[in-house]
Parts: sequence; C-alpha cells; structure tokens
Amino acid sequence: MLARSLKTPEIPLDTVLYYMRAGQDKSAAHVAKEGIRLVREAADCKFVCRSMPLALGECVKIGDWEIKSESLKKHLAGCKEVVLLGASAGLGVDRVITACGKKSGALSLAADSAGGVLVEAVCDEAEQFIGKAHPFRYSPGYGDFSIEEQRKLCELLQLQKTIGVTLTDGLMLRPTKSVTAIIGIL
Amino acid sequence: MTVIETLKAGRLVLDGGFGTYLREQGYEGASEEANLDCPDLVASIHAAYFRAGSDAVSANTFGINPLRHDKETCKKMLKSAFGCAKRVRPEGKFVFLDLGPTGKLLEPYGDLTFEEAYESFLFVVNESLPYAPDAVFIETMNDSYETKAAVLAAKTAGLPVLVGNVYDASAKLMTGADIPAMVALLEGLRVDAFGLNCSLGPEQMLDLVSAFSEYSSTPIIVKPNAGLPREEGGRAVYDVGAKEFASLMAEAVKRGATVIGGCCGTTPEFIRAMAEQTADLPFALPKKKDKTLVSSYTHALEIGKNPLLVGERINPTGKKRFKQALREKDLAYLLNEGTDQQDKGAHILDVNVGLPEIDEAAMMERVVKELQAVSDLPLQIDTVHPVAMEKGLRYYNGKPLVNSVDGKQESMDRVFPLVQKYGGTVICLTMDEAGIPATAEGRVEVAKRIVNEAAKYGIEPKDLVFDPLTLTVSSDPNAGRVTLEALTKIKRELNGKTSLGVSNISFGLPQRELLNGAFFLLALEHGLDLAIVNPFSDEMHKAYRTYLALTGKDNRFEEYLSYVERRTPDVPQTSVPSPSSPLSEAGSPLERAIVRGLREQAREEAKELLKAEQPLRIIDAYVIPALNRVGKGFEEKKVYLPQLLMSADAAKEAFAVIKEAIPPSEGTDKIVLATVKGDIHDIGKNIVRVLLENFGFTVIDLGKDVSPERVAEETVRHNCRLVGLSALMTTTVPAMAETIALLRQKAPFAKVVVGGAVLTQEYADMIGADKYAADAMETVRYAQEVFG
Repeated sequence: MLARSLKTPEIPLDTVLYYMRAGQDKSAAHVAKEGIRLVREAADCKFVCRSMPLALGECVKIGDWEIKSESLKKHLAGCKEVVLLGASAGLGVDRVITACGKKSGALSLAADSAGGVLVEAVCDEAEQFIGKAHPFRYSPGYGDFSIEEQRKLCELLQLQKTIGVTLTDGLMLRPTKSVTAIIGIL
Repeated sequence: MTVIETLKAGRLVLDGGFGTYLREQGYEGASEEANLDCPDLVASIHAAYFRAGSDAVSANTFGINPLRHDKETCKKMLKSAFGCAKRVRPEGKFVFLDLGPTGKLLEPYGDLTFEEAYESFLFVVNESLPYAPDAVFIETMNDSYETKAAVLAAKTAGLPVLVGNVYDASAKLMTGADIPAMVALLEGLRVDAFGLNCSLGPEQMLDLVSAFSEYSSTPIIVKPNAGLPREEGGRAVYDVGAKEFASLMAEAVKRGATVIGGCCGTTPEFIRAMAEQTADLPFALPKKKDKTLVSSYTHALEIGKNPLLVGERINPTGKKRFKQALREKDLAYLLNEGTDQQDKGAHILDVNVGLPEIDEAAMMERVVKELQAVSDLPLQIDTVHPVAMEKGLRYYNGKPLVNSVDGKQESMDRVFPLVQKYGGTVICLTMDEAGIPATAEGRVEVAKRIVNEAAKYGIEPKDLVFDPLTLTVSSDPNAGRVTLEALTKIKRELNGKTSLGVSNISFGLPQRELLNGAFFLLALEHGLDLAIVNPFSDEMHKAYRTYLALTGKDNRFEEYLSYVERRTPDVPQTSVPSPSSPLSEAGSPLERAIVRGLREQAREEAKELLKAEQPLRIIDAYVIPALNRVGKGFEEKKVYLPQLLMSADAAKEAFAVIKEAIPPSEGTDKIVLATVKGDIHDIGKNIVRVLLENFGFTVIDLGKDVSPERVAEETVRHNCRLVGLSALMTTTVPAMAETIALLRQKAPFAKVVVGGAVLTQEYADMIGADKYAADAMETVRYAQEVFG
C-alpha cells in the first residue's frame, strides 16, 4: 500500500467549461476561472494504491475478495493483476462548493466542476505513477459492479486513514470529490 | 500513583503497535474480533509490552464501536478485551480504554451527526466502566470535530483523558486543523495529555513535536509508526528499526515529549529499546504558555499580538431585514453576512441570533453548524440565553470566544461552568450588580473579581478578555477618557487582554463614523486587542490599517497595501458578454443587466427603479420578463447553463433590494424542494431553487440526503401544493419512489415534480410523479401552471 500527497495538478479551463455545460458560450470563462482559483486554494490532493493478485474464474477474485460482476470480468480480461486506487481532492473543496452555493449558483457550478476535473487529474497522475495500466479505470457502480462493493474497497485501501475518505450510509464517498477504482495491469 | 500523578511526575511509557503486531502473529481478522477469537494471544501481546517497559497498555478496544458492530457484540468484546489486559497487568501499571475513530465523517460534509458520534463513544465509555479503566486514550483521530465528540463522551466518566491525533506531513489533520488549533481545542476541553500518533514515522514527527512544545502547556504524547510503510508481498513493511526508533524517540523527548510509545509496525522490541534509551534523560513538563487562543477547525488566532477585528453583523439588533431572515429561517442570508464580513477582513465572527419570538437555542445550533461549513473564521458565541450558549459551545468545532460574562454573580454562575466544560476564551464586561463603575479604577476592580471567580473553575486569566465598556460621549463627555484609561490599567495591572464594542461612543451624534474611527484609533493606542466592529465601515478600516502601518505591526506594509488596493472604487463585475449573444441588447437597463448576468449593475438598477416604481411592478415588468428571455433562450439552446445561472445570480441581487421594500408576506406560493435520501448531489436542485425564487415563489429547501418522512412532514406543515424532488444517481431512484408513495399518503394535495441527471419520462411515470422536468426552467413553468 502506498499513500501520497500531490502538488495540486493543473485544472484546465476548457475541461471545466465542458463540465459546466457551457457549450459555445465563452462568457462563463471568468466564473470558471474563479471557481478554479478557489478550488486550487482549498485542494489537498492525495491518492493511495495497492497492488493485488487477480484471478478470473466464475467470478472476479482480487486477493480473497470475490466480486460477482460480468462487466468487471470482461473489463479485466487479459490483466495479470490489479491496482486498487483511492484518490481525493480533499475536504476543502467541499467547503468551497458549499460556500459558493450560498452566494452564486454559477460560481457553485464552476467550483463543483473544477473539483470534478481536479480529482480526475489526481487519478491520472496516480495512473502515471502505476504505469502499464489498462486505459480505463473501473469503479463500483459501473455496469453490474455493485456499489455495495465500495465497502470492501474502502477497507482494503484503509481510505479513512490513508487519504481521509469515508463512506456514508448510502455508500457515497466523502469528501465528495473522491474516486475509488480498480485498475487492471496489463 | 494515579495516571494524573504519573503524568506530572515523570515520563509515561505507552505500548507499541497492536493491530500490526497481532497480524505478525498470524491473526488475519479485525483486531477487535481477536478479543473473542483468541483472548490468550491478545493477553500475551499486552504481557509482552508490560515486560518491555510499558507503564500503560491500551486494551484492545480501538475498533469497538456501535457503528461498526452491534451493541451486544461490543459488550462482549469490551469484557474480553479488559479481561485480557487486566490479567497480565503488573502491580502499579495501567490499562487504558482505547477509543478509535468511528470510521465515518461527521456533518456538515459527512452523514454522521455530532450527537450520533458522541452517543457511540458514550456507549463504549459507559460499557467499559465496570472494568475500571485507568484512563481513556482517544487515538488515531484525523478530524477535530470527531475528537471533540469523543473527548466530551470520555469526560462524562471522570477519568483522565489522553488524545492522539493523526497529522500529515504538512502538520495538519485530514479535516484541516493545524497544531495550534488542536492545542487550543484540547486545552479548552481540559484534556490531560495530547499529541501525535500514527501515520508518520518518528523522524517526520520531530518538527511537529517542536510545534507542540511552542504552544502546549499540557504533557505531549508522541506515538509514531515504525517509519513509513512500503508494500512487500502484499504486506506493509516499515522502514525504521528498533534501535533507530529509540534514538529518534530520545530526540523527541529532548524536544518536549513526555508520553511516549509506538504505533503501527512497532513491537515490544521497539518499546524496550525506547524505554532504555530515554530512561536517563531529564524530565520536564512543558512550560506554562501565556497565549490567549481562539480557534476554528483550521487555525488558531492569538489575542494580544496584533489587534484583531470581530465582525458584528450577525446580529439582529436594529436590523429589520436580519430579523425577518431569522423569523423566516433564511439561513442563506445569515451565512452571507458571515462570509461577506470575512471577505472584508474580519478575523472573527460574532454570532448573535437572539430574537424573542424564535427558538434561540435551536437557531444558534443551526447557525453555528452551517457557518462553520462555509467559513473558517473562529466564532464568537454571543448570547445571554444559557441553553443557546451551551448549544453554541457544544457544536462549535474549535475553541470559541464567549460573549460574554460580567461581574454579576448570576452571570458568572451561568457562564463559567459552560466554559469549564467546553473551553473558550471569555469576554468579561467590567460591570456588576451595581452597574458600570464610573471610574477606570472601579472597572479594574470588577475585572479582578472576575479573575478570582474564574479561578474557581480552573479558568486561567489568559482565557479572559476584558471589555471596559464604551459609553456614549453625548451623555457623558468624559466617557471616552474613562474607557481609554481603563484599557491602559487592565494592561498594566492585570497584564490582561482587552476588547471593546467601539461604535457605542458616538451614539446620538451626527456623522458617527468620524467619531468611531477616531475613537478606535485612540483605543488601539491605549492597548485594545479585540475590536468588535462593522467590517463594512471604511472609517474603521482606515483607523485599523493605518495604525498597524504606523506602529510597526504591519510586516512590509502588506496589510496596508492590500487595503489600499481594495479601496480603489469597485469595477463593476462584467461577464464579458459574447458579442454574438442573441439576448443582450433589448429591454430596460435592469433587464439588460439581468440578461447579461451583471450582479452589481442589476442591484443598482433595481435601486434606481425603486425610487419611481412599486416593488411588485418591478418584479413583474422587468425581472420576470428578463428571466423569461434567458429561460427561453436556454430552452432553445441559445443560452448555456452558466449564463442562465449568472442571470439568476443577477436577478437575485435585484430581488434582494426589492424584497427590502416589500413587507414580509405569509401565504405566498410555497414549494418544498429536496434531494432524496442517499443522494448528496444538490447542485441541480440549487439551480431550481434559485430560479423558483427569482420567479417569486417561496422555496422551502430541505437540502440533500432528505428522508421521505421529513419531506412529507414539511409538506404537510407548510401546506405546500408542490414538491420538487431531485436525484442524480440510479441507486437513489428507489428512495424517490418511496418519498412519492409517502407523500401520496400523507399529503395527497401536493403535486410532485421530479428531475435530475438519471431521470427520464419513463422513470418518472414508473415511480408515479406528476411531472418530469428535464431542466430548471421546465420546473418553473410547471410551478406557474400548478399555482395558476
């Protein structure tokens, strides 16, 4: 298991505008920039990863964790092992989104979008670190990979201790700008 | 000797890693389950630590918590855990109850309430009492708020409480608190020893130990991992050996650690080496610090260094609009008053929500909780209502300022016990049963009596800030002079910290700002540490910034220069409208401002129009047509989402101005909005709210993750004819169906409109909604239809 803190990655304006569904309308750029600035100021980017042995049989077996998911099995076909990934942009980003929401809908949308772009960028950096990975990350909730499996993933990565990420009763990640995923190693 | 006596008399050696050591012995389950699976193994680990030189071991209770296991299992585990530790305990050694984190994040960003966390810790504490632990050790906490809940629960047992927090390499907790903030919080809560454990190795902890030494007057705990982990064959391997660990711990001791042990990866071998290597080092408790601290969940402020500004605007006194917001529970208005003051340079926010006709205690709880979700400034809990004060102190995530106590016995009897329990720095008004003394000497006498009474509760003089009271010069020309003299005397005779509400001085005179600014400057020069002011007043800023600049208190004039920069007249916010925008040109100036999303301009234009036109007519003739144009443009895909929201923001600004001119009305068209249970995505719902409000509807926004019962209850209570439900995730659509079913039963009069990313017309039909709205504008149109 390896946990890292990162220097906050770049948050590209175009991607944020895309997340904001700004279409061709470039007038949203100054709001987007402000959202990016606030999110960058508040961000505390971390990831944790752990490599695990993989066996594909009747179900997907990662260590002694058995997952019944056809779509995940298909996704991991040809992989020798997996890396479990947890990544987060930190609780400060949630605070910014909430604070913006009290002032301006547009700014809140911008901050929310910037936070989403940021955590994806953290995942990308983590993948670069991992190397030779399957081009797509696979997360609980995709296809028939049950969201219930989020618990096991959190436990295996000790998410609260390693990167400060917890689960709600409804199996959602907190801070909200967090991602868990299984990455196949080719 | 008791634990407390031992802490004062010498170093206390704790145990080392338990879970990691248990796994080394071949146990694969969760550590707390070992209490039932293999009690002999558990006992043998404790025994090994005692043999290695531990003065105290933590029973294997870290993971025992009713949020992780059912209560009966918790009880069985606790019984066995203490049994294991006690049967191998040598005479004179200690066994601690060990409390670990619940595994959940607390409100406002998690779904565990403060009280739920408190109750779960309290359960474990109470169930442990029959086994007579010597102390409670709360450890591996990475959230200050959860730490506070655990400490309050532990304190109910009357046992010594020790706290270990997890800091990262940047010396902060995961939820943001730095070391001074944690020292302020934990000393306020009267924890007996606290410091660092887990996450870092001894080397990475050394600088952090020095930081603790700089702030803490309380014994310092250092309990590192055996270095940093790396993975080898699927197992964590730590990079520091026992010998190296011991010499680094000796360095930690030299830097001030007095309670030492090991965490993950350490073994009895580490503890033995550490105990031997530190045995002959001299022992000294941390020196008493004289810092007057207040803190938030991120940082602490020291009162008595540079003077600080307390923003006074969260207070209904004399403010019609604020009172209305309190009565209508319009939290957004209150919160904006907070964040706006922060933007204007306030260091601390005063929170006063007292109004005779509302439930002040409940409002205080809500405002404190919500304010600390959006602002990281320390808060000043301002109330005379004892229950409201307790709520404020309890739910505050830090060490607050408490406003206020005075020299009346009744006041001290009421306030000091709360400060003793929750911590806080107290504003002390120098008046008593006989009123406000006319002389500076008289006020200092009252201050001295307050110091003596506070001492009875263990509240030190450093946690008192004296307010010698500002009286108005128009009724007594000497009032200003007496107050200034009292400031000087409090400094000189009590070495006390001071505060004043500055603006009282000018009451009854014209151009009050002029007098306020000048008096503020005088007060600063006479030793004022804390000024309760209106951060929007330029005269106050002028006095404050120039004072700092002229007295060597402004490093490289940074404060002054940034103030000067901000003082240049505001450039109106522009949204750089795209030249091809199909909507920008036509209509009145207000309409254009709204269409183009110009907030400042929209506000100014609305003010202008109010001089000539009726408020309601402005809404009908300008605001709504403008929003309609933007909304229509959005539907036709000529306008994109951000622009729609910017227009809504601008309309909101205009609306705020107009609303002040309209008498508050009951019985407007009310709509309940909620994101359903299990879903925390509320941005879509918030967009709908903003638009609905702009179109004149009253929205009762229940927030996110709302239970079906609550939606039904509020709908009935407000007699709402329309309910809007939002869900973003497929997994929460069933919760939406459940909510609709309950609404049909309890509030058959209400129509239900649904929306959100995953919803479709088919889904909406399937779960029995009256209407599926693809976007915010469609919801508005439907609302107009429903209310005719």
